[in-house]
Amino acid sequence: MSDNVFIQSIQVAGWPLVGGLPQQMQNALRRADDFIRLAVFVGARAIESVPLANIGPAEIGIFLGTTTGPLETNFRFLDTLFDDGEGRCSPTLFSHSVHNAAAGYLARLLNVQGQTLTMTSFGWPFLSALCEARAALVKKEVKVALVLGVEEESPVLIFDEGGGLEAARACRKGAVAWLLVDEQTAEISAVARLLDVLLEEHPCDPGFFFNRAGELVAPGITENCSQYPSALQAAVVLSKKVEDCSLGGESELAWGVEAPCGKASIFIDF
Amino acid sequence: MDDLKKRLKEIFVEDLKVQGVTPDEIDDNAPLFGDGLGLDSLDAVELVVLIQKHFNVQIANMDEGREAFASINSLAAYIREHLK
Amino acid sequence: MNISEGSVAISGLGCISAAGRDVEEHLQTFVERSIVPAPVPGRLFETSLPYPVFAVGPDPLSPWSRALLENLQPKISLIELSRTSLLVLDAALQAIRSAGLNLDKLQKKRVGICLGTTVGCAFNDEEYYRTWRRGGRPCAAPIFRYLGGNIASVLQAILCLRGPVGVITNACASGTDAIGVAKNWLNTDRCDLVIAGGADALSRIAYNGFASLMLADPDACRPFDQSRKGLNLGEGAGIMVLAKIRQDDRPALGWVHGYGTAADAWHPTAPHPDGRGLQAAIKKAVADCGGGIKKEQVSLINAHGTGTPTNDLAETTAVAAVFSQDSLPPLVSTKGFTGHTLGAAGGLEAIFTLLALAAGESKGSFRCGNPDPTFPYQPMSQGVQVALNGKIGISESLAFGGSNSCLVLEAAS
Repeated sequence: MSDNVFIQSIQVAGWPLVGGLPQQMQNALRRADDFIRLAVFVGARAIESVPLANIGPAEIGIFLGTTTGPLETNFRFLDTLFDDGEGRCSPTLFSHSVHNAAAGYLARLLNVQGQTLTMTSFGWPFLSALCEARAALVKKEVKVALVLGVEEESPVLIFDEGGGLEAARACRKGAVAWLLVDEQTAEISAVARLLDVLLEEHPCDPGFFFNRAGELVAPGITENCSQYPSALQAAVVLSKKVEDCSLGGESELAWGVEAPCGKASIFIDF
Repeated sequence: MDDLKKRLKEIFVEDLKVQGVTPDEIDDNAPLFGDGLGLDSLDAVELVVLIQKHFNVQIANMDEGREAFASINSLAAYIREHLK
Repeated sequence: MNISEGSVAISGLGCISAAGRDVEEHLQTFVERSIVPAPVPGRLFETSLPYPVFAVGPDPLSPWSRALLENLQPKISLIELSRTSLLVLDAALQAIRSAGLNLDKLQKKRVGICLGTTVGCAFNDEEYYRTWRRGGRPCAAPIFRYLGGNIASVLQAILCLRGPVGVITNACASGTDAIGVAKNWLNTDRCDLVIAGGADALSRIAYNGFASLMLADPDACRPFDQSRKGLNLGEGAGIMVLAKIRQDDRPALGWVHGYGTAADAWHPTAPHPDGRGLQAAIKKAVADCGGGIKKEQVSLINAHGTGTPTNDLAETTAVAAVFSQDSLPPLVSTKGFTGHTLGAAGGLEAIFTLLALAAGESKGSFRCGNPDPTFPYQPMSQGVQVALNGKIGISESLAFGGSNSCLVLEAAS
């Protein structure tokens, strides 16, 4: 059996969601926060790209990376604690503030019963998740891996240059999903083949993560990505670059990102 | 309609976000959990907090809760009985 | 020894919880069986709620760890570190020492760091948020502490290591998953060694969350007992040094042979009633041992066993479905000693499983006087001493979001 891993589908979404969520999921999502809705939106679209009739639920995995998780839900829970007091804070908000809540929803709504892994880091959590997903496919742990990067910025953590609150900047949300599949499952419509993901992270000044100034991606894209959260922008550029190269008939792509927190390289052919 | 029941129905729609019904459409005797309104164990604990917050009535444990949460009627009766 | 291609060696152990500051103290607590949870210490946070907790002392760092760290003169001030990071540091230093390694040696190798946590990666500075909510201008320092506080990055920075880093946030299964992912890293040659496990400190947020979920017991928790009412929260860290297996190495303390994980696809907080995902996770963990191990060889299962009515029922249901009636390994919960330490639980309990297997006996689930007769699988009650019939065991973790993860471990003879 081959170790080839294919990218079957790539989805990128900002906020608000364009097109909305499937009607049949509305009831299951009644308690869901924006973070979960983003994950489900891109995740459901990515997984639709491949017929799963011959794939068992246990052969599908979810790998989600995030820098801060559902921060706003965390603060909404604190609101109930501050306003209503101990013993009266919302159990629903608490259970939705854990970082793997979104992966849990995805598993339930898409009937995924294989590995689900949520990873939290300030560097490139989507790439961390991509790395683990690729390894899980090579190991034959899963045949299909849904890989997500989900980010939401919070007004609570935004400061201006002088160290004061920066009220003007709008808080952005966004998500990226890639559907990785093994060779047997790959459809003719597959976007590309994922050859390798190399990730090297090291400690850096936490100030970098505040605005990510000096993060360099190459090759870049012409489209402006400033509507996406800064922590998601590298993943958005990579996603759009892969799509561009695929449409443009390129044969291969070596993509890299470098910043004070480390560097990463992704190798793809088409 | 009695005010307490009306308020409870609003809580189900606004706070528990029950889908596809308006407060007026909720039957006083219909089961709230399982097949009725389709609520689950997480709604049950949320409801405990909401009842405490809105009516200052405490449901100490789920054995008490189970009986109170059977329907709008039983919940209204429970709250009336325990109102301080 | 049942080494297969994917097995990795456990070369060092470190643990800290209310039950002890190192491995020896934990072993002593397991023998004495007198530990009780206490009201939340005021130095951690004030609360009006009645639920007791298992807290570690004021300083998570032992004098030995503190001296060693001060000697290192790390770029990050120890005062800046979160309690979770301090728990990680202490347990990691213990594990490194127990592996017979020193930092000079470590810095020459590719050392991965893979840790599980829940509270350890949340921004939960209440004072900051209170000020912000009032429209004030809070001091930005807590934000920078948060951005610089990823527990794996902190450990990497302080010990000056290079290699892959990862923080797994699979809620209460995080510690188990971190060890499983670390095993994969070694199997695919991403590094030579991994510092792996889990950590979490007590927090007012999680404390109130579990209280609102009505999952906390106002008395000492009684996992698997008929009278169980819920869990007690705890804090701690359980860390292993994992290594590739090589002929020339010093004898290993044991091995991680298999890792299995599966999703319930069921509910945000409740486990699947049949423990569907857990059944799959156990089977996958055994299959991951490469055929070298059969489930009949499992001589101990360290349960997640939190003491909540639904967890304990789902867990015993899953175990009953996987293991046949004629090969029932003893099922034990250790949470009566430590409380539920969330992200740390998988790390701590992998170590406890290994310690019980090494000792060759288990003394039953602490504070489980009368196992619930409705369970389809009877866990070991308190005070029952059983000689284990082998060195292979399983450590189980279940989590919110429906994650279920298991490790197959073996203790060296």
